[in-house]
Amino acid sequence: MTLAVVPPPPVSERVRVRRAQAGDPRAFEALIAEHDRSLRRLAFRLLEDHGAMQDAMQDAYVSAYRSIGSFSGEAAFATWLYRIVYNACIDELRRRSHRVHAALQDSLEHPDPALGPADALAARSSLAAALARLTPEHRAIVLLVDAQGLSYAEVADVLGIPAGTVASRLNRARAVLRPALAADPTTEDHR
Amino acid sequence: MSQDERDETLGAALRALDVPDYEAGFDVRLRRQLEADTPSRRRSRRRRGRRRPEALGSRLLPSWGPLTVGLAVTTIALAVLLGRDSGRVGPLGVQPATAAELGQRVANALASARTLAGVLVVRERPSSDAPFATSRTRFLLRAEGDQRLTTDGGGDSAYRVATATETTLNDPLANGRPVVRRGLAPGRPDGGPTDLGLRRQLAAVAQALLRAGDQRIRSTRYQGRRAYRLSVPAATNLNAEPGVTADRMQVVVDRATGLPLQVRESYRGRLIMERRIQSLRVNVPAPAAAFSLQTPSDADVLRFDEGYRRVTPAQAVKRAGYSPPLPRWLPAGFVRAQTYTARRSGRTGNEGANPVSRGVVSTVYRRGFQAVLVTSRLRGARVGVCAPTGIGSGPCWADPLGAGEGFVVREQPVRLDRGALSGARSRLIIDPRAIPHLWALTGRYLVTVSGDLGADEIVRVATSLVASR
Repeated sequence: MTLAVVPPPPVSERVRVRRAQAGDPRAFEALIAEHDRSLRRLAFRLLEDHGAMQDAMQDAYVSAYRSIGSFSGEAAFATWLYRIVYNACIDELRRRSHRVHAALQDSLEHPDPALGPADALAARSSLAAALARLTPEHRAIVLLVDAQGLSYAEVADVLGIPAGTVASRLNRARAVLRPALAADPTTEDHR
Repeated sequence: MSQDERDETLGAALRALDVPDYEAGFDVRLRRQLEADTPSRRRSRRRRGRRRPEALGSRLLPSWGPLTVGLAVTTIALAVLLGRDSGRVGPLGVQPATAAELGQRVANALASARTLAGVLVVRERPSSDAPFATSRTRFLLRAEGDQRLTTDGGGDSAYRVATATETTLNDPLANGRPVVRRGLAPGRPDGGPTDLGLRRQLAAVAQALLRAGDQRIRSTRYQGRRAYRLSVPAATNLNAEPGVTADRMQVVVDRATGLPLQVRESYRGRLIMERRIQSLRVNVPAPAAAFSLQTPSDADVLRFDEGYRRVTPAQAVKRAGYSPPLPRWLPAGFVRAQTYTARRSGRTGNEGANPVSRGVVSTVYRRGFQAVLVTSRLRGARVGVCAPTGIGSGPCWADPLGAGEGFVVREQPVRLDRGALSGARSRLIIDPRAIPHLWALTGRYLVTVSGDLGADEIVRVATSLVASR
């Protein structure tokens, strides 16, 4: 696998990584706090379930802490974390298997009355609905490239696929999402 | 698009999608797990052959039903579930949202709710040296505008949008006589149904606070729930002694539902007044019968007619005698709910400084519990705009939605370059004391745009106003 050429991490991050590798949980907490919102975004959009997102994030963070000794610094720390979170989400999806996908689809078409007001609104967002129609891999690619700004090589590293595959799947994902984005009404005549 | 080039528009839209917070206790549980998993402890456990105190992947707290807040129950439940750790700051607890983000969250919550029920608790001092008095009002509200309010003292009030009529039983202001008010306007600046600071004020205050800039907000706990807190300075009352009115307002917003739960007013840190919502429930059943009250057949009923009649926009032109300006643009999701006209209506502004209104057209647009009111009235002989003294006098028009006698809020002059208000003298008011609004005086009429919008949105709505046909 070809790793992306990335600039060396900032000293503070490098120091924190060393401290975390030495067994300092506070240093590890500081590291993940910097990236948590982006990681959470990826997990929630992959799993489309609040509880499952929390479980996956908890598993991912504990797993990352346990294996931080193997982090060599060749890739960016964030990229390394994305890979762990992505794998935790894929594991979660595999556990839920077909039953989960059916439930997900059903929840989009028939919003759960128990959803919170904000969740219900999010479920009605055309962009969110279009995103949910993509496969998890396509979702991850478009989120990591367009929303998070990772390079194709970094995303290839996160997902464990060739960079050329990232490019082709990204195009397909954008083709699904752009019409949904355009369909979002911002100007209406209310007279 | 070349290799590695990003679609910035799509990326921004994806980043704007909701990212849910963790439930309460996540931080603390994670920290425990990390501390239990330090290399030294792992080695120690291996030597002693013990299991980790918490298995990897153990499930976190069960999700709350965010639609059923039930604060009292939740407080007890969380105390049991979280134990004494509930107040600790966890590893991910240092990520304050911005006011803009929280404002959007509140807007989303209010936009998607259909009914709200709960208890409004108000604590205030009748005078500066008196002890706090507490009043409680149970409420049931529909997004369409219907409401039912029941007070501790036996007062009972029901308002229906369909009839624009409010019926009140045991009204203490009427010595207990039933009161029926018909022909009500949908809301300020004209006389609408009883507002205890719930539908208009609480939401509007929250909106004003949360959209008042990009300041950071603080994570907090409120009655056992994770919440956000935002505090901003507020103007004191010029007519009152120092210490009687607040110089600071604080809003607490529930993190799970995005609904404002408490507004606290204080002067130099001393509590002046508090409004809080307890036992909040969202989307509870609300049959039409809940919004109707019958007066006793033998009762001496006080009846008032405020003069507003529900009409179509076309009928409004005939009744008002002019083509009222209506918006061509509103934020997505807002739709016209009702239009009312009144040939003659009461005075507006602080102390009723403005003359009796004539030819009033009031149109309400709704998006869930969010509302925007666009009103117009004939200008008449008064041509000037009063200075915002908070008192109001003279042959000029004062802000029709004045924040209250003695309160001076900042009016920002705005130049509108398009639409029916092009070139008019316009003022924008975004202040915790007032519903966010803009008012403008043209050669023919006075116009107000008010409601649950940010400053930019209000200006955009005002710019889009054109005379209807």
